[in-house]
Amino acid sequence: MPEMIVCFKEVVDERELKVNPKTQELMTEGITRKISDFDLNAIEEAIRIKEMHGGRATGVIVGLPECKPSIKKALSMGLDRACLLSDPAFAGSDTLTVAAILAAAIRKLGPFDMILCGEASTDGFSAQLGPSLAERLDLPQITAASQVTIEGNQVVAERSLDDGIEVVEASFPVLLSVTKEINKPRLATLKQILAASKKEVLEWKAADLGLSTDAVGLQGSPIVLKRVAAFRMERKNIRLEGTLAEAAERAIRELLREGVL
Amino acid sequence: MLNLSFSEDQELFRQMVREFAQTELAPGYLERAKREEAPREEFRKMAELGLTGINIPEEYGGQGADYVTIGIAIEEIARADINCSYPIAVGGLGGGAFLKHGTPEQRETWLPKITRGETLLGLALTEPGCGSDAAAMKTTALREGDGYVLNGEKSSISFVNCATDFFLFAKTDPKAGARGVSCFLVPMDAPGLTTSIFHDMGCKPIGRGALALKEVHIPASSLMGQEGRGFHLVMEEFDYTKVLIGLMCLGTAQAALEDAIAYAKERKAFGKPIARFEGVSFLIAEHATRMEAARLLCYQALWLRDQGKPHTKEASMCKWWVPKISAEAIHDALLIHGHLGYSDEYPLEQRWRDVLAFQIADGTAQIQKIIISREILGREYLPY
Amino acid sequence: MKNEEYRNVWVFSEVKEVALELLSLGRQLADSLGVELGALALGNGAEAQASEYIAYGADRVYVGQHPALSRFSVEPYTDLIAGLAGQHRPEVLLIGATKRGKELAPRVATRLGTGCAADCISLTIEGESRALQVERVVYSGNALAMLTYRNRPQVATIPPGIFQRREREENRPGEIILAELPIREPRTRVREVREKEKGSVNIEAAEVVVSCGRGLNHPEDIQLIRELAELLGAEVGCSRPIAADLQWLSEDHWVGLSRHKVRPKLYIACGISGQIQHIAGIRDARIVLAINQDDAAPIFQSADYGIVGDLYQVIPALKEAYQRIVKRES
Ligand SMILES: Cc1cc2nc3c(=O)[nH]c(=O)nc-3n(C[C@H](O)[C@H](O)[C@H](O)COP(=O)(O)OP(=O)(O)OC[C@H]3O[C@@H](n4cnc5c(N)ncnc54)[C@H](O)[C@@H]3O)c2cc1C
Ligand SMILES: Cc1cc2nc3c(=O)[nH]c(=O)nc-3n(C[C@H](O)[C@H](O)[C@H](O)COP(=O)(O)OP(=O)(O)OC[C@H]3O[C@@H](n4cnc5c(N)ncnc54)[C@H](O)[C@@H]3O)c2cc1C
Ligand SMILES: Cc1cc2nc3c(=O)[nH]c(=O)nc-3n(C[C@H](O)[C@H](O)[C@H](O)COP(=O)(O)OP(=O)(O)OC[C@H]3O[C@@H](n4cnc5c(N)ncnc54)[C@H](O)[C@@H]3O)c2cc1C
Repeated sequence: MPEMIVCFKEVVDERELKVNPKTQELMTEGITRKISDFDLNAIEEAIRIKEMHGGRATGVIVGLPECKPSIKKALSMGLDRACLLSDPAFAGSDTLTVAAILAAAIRKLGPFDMILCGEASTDGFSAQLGPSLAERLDLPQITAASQVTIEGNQVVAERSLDDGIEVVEASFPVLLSVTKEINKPRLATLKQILAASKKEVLEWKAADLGLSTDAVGLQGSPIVLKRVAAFRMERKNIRLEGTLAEAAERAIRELLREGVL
Repeated sequence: MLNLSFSEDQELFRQMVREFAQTELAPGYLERAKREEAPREEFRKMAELGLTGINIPEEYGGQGADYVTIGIAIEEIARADINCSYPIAVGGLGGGAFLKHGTPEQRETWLPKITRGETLLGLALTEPGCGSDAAAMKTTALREGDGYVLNGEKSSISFVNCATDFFLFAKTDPKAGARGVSCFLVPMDAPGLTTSIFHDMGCKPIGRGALALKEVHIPASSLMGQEGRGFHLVMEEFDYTKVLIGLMCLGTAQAALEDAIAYAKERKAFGKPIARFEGVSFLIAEHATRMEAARLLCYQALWLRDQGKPHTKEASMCKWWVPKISAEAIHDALLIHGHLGYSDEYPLEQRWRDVLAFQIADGTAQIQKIIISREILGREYLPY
Repeated sequence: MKNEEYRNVWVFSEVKEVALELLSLGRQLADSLGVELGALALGNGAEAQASEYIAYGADRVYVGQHPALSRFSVEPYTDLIAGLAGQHRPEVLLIGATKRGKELAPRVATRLGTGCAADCISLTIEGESRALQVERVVYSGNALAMLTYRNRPQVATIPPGIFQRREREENRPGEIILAELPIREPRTRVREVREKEKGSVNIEAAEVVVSCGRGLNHPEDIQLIRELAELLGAEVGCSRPIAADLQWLSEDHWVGLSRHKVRPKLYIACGISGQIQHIAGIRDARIVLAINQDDAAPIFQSADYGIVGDLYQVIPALKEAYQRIVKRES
């Protein structure tokens, strides 16, 4: 009966992003917010494990107080309880500090067997949080898991890597990050939505976690986000000139730079 | 205090239904719409999500929610596929009828099956000779032993291709008018009942057709409510299906308007996106305005029902006006697409043909206006 | 520890070819900082790699040859890299953003109590502070984030293929240092390694789509499109005429207003003129690459990148370039 922690994040719906045509800045205000895509897979996987092996799944989220509807959605899907880590002091946290906040909360929640994360978020998409959290809590990690089975007190997972599939095993406690191929997240029924209102939501601030406000947020983060510039939403219309071989090479390099290959 | 917001639960529910409808239903809408085949697989998925028993209490396996919530589901499903939304409206109707008029045994038998999606109830009122004037029906249900024998024909009935049972209206007292009408539960496979399917210009998957009844024997337990009170039952339950039909049309029109908006931004004429021409953008603005007003009217009517307040007038307002403005919005959305809109490769003309059905089904505009006038002016000013 | 106490640029990738790309980037950064370029070579054959790394620009290579390093495993690799970085204090540590590199870098950074920026596509040094400034693609490709660092070392992962390796220099001087550090056994065990299977056609969910139109001359030529798609792990799409009129492909492949709306990261349109009915189906594609022999084809207005040329020549050239740059086959 594994005790599970699911880390999930709230993000803006990237399909609704708009660009301020004057400043070229990305406008994220007033846009629908949602649970980051792969985190739905992490939540779903925890619920499936629970359905097969019992246990409990607690959702943990570092986010704004306004992320309550996302928490409710996660609870409606089937998480047993949630823990919202929210404090104005957390603003501007990078991976290192978000992991520190999550680690403090997870320790406070008590012993666990598994932590599930999404492989990467839909906004930052750095795929860093899982490994950073595993390091903080001194856990083995299985990233990019596309299939997970529980055998007694160990996890067997298929990892989807660049060059093939790797099947790995690790004993509890362990951290996994999951890909979107792992499952199809369920949709909650109305009854489940209504029942979610009765589930427990813990709310902790920096002080509750014993974290000094200097160690978190902008002050505590080694990475500083200076600017987010929108790409022009219009097509770029760049002609790749030169000989065939040159044009082809430039094409491949540009596509790699864009991160689309 | 006026508060026009949905609850957090309702918003979350809308989001879930939208996700389901847009991923599971929208992609296949056009293809299914061309076939006279009930979308059984889609019904099954909707039942799984609890969409077939939204207003049925939890003790019968339903969701125990209110009518506003059914409205949300209908609107979202219709945005993806209007033909998939109709069974929810009718399922809601069945649920409501059993709750109000059913015996405890009937509730036990029927409600769980409706919520699980095993039972799909059609409603057979109209006849070849009468529609608006349903009280003039000719089908009879005469007592014989401890049951009834049905004879007659019902025409223009939805779900003849897939219903498991019908609420069927027939005269237990052929000489009486409306007061002679009773309501029966008749299984599709009753001996003596034969069907035929119509070939319609739209809403093909809902399988409109006729039911011929020749010496159909049914037990006395099939009577819904009291003898002679069938017409009353229809009037009561039709009130809110009229609103749901409004939301079905509105959802469909919303999808068309969104297509038109996207297309107008993309399509260039005279060197500019056509959305920059006010001849185009004002059309969009006008339809968006009417549709917003229509949406408020629909949800207000459902809210009134949830509050147990009269809503006959509002429901009839929804029924005559919302399908009409929806058809008009789709019509203009089609024209904004230019020649493309005229092609059946694209869902605009299909949506238009589908919503037209609902200017007729469940009572025409004239009949609604008669009801509204009666409510406003008083019964004494009816022409008859 | 103060930032000034950190010096030098280090690079690591468990894939040799990626390491060579990082060496070229690292060399530029090291030169602009006026410091040395270090590289890490771990696992089997590390020593042979070390001299290669020197030939490609490293001044110093740290070699780790513990049995636990023989195949990549994140825990021992973290022990070694973080251990060495803790001792020698590089100011910049670049790691190849393969899946393995991406699970390694944040772990190393966290152990060192420092920050890591992922998938950086541009890296520069800010004069005064010597701080690294990086750019990375975020919000599912809708924006570019600019980040910088407060702490040292500054860890960044770099996607393979976007920087070109330098010319090899025979007899470049450099130092090879054997690294001896305590390493723990990994707590994950590999049971099996196998090839990925190919998924079924679902063009609406595809991440990359290679699509063809009436620019194709014969039904057999679909094979050309298929080969490119296979190489890129893409699905095959087409314009309406190919599916509806010529029926060279089934309707599952038909992209556009009246069939499938696709939203891939990359859409490659080969011999498609780019009529609005087609374009309406690729509105949500993140990047569009168009190949068309007609310089004035409207598709180029709806494309991010365009190659004017005969698709029968361009596609083989693209395949060749991809194989060379990404698969590193010559
Ligand atoms: C545009 C942008 C770019 C950024 N780039 C970087 C960067 O390069 N380096 C850096 O250190 N920071 C960066 N940040 C800060 C970053 O958003 C936070 O550190 C974030 O919490 C984790 O990074 P990520 O979004 O890339 O998530 P990932 O590491 O991709 O997320 C993986 C998984 O971790 C879990 N997770 C992530 N965030 C949370 C959370 N808040 N609560 C609960 N679970 C969570 C989820 O399961 C998620 O699926 C960036 C922020 C923005 C807005
Ligand atoms: C798609 C579809 C599905 C349907 N599904 C069902 C179903 O499931 N079950 C069911 O029982 N029926 C169903 N119907 C039938 C529908 O309820 C009737 O068609 C409707 O009530 C009108 O009746 P009618 O067609 O006989 O028209 P009529 O009553 O013959 O009317 C013809 C015309 O005369 C007008 N008219 C009639 N009386 C007046 C008046 N007093 N003043 C002014 N104008 C008047 C009407 O508005 C109409 O324009 C369906 C119809 C459609 C189109
Ligand atoms: C209602 C309606 C709906 C429609 N829906 C769709 C839809 O969903 N999807 C769709 O695609 N279309 C749709 N169309 C059709 C659309 O209008 C165009 O006819 C169609 O997209 C053209 O297809 P094409 O680009 O392959 O062919 P063409 O327009 O013939 O273009 C072929 C292109 O290939 C180039 N070419 C030729 N030889 C070579 C070569 N050797 N190397 C490189 N380039 C070469 C030519 O320069 C030309 O630009 C629809 C039309 C209507 C009316």
